[in-house]
Amino acid sequence: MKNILTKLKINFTTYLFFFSCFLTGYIKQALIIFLIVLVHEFGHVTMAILNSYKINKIELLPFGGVTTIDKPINTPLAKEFKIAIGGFLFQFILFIIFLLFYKFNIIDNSFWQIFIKYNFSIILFNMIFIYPLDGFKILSCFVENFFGYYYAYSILGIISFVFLILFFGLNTVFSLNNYLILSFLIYKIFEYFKIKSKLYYRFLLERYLRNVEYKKIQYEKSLNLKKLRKDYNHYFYVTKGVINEREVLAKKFDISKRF
Amino acid sequence: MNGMFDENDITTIKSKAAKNKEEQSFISKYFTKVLWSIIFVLASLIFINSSENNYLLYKKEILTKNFPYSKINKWYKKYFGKVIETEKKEDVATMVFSNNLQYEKIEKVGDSEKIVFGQKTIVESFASGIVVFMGEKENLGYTIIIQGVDDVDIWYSNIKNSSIKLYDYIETNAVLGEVDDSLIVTIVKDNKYLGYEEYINQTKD
Repeated sequence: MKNILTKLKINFTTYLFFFSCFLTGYIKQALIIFLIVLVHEFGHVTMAILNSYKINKIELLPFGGVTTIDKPINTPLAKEFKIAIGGFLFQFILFIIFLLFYKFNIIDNSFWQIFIKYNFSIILFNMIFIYPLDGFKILSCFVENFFGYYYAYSILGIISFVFLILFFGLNTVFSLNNYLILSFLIYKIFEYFKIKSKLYYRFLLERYLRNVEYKKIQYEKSLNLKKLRKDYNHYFYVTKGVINEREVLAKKFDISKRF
Repeated sequence: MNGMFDENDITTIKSKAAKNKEEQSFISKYFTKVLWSIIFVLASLIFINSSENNYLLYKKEILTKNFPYSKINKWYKKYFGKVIETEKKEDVATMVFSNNLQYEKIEKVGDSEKIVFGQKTIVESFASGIVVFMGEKENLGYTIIIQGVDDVDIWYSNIKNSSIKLYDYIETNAVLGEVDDSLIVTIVKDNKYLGYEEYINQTKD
């Protein structure tokens, strides 16, 4: 899989962070953090490959990373969940490996203490409900199961914003790295709201062009495309009777009305 | 189906330069960087060997002095806060010298001082800092050098059973190891050698 290495990209904040670590003598800590972050991202990569998706880019950040995968918006939520949990899973496996190393005295106590501290702080950080962290992704798997994509997007955006405010307010640590991470998250949430309508349009167009048989069926009382959920096939009640979502989408996208 | 929206999609327009960069192989991306690294190393070597002065400068500044990790650490913490935000904070201003060493006597041994305990003692660090050297020093035996945050290097010699590693960040009063009978300590500040008592009294002020 030599192609994977070409997809690796290191964010400039990560370069700054590791550079400052090396200059101030925190060399061991920097290497351990780098290992943990790498393993975390390759957790996502492995789960994506196991689900037959291609990787677009693996971006490494100081306390985590972002893996962009070539998958449609309408991926099954079970698969999304499996990919999202990959990071935590691989960090857990790494924990077991290092626990064995420690028990068999391959690594000493100081190394183990440093590893434990950073492994758990990275896991905890990635579980916060802020876009684009893993916790947010996992939460979205549940929210998108119960709400239409359009509404779920807004709900998740608000939750993410609230948690970002909390994180910003409760975080009193004076650290440059901290401010860099915060500004990255703030930038990401602006981007999240900016691309909302574009993603919604793409979501609908994908549904129309792909014609996937969804196993679950959902009946809606009023004709509203914003109520379309991932993983469900929708039927709308209209005056004539019941109409499938595909007919509605065909009217929207296809001039010749063939589908 | 995957890849439905291809590279020419209006939502993912990339410049020609970006596309070309993506199509480069792994090796060619790093080719220029490797070349620049080689040029840097060669230029440094040429500089060092170009004159006697330069060579002496190289010997003095680079081969004998330690990279000032503790100094940069302290400077960084002052202006940019913690390096890694989950680190414990050790403030130089609040650094308290609380080591009450019970010793029999102090003998002067060259530039160092030999603190005789008379029995097996566990030695703790006098001040916080970063371990910059662990090894044999002539006439002193096995030595651990800790570069303190207050610009003072402290050499602890004659220590056994030490579990600390190179480049560890050591807090004040952290256990360094144990000594059988006596500890040889060398305290260096700005190329001047201080005595143990002198140093304690200095930090207490």
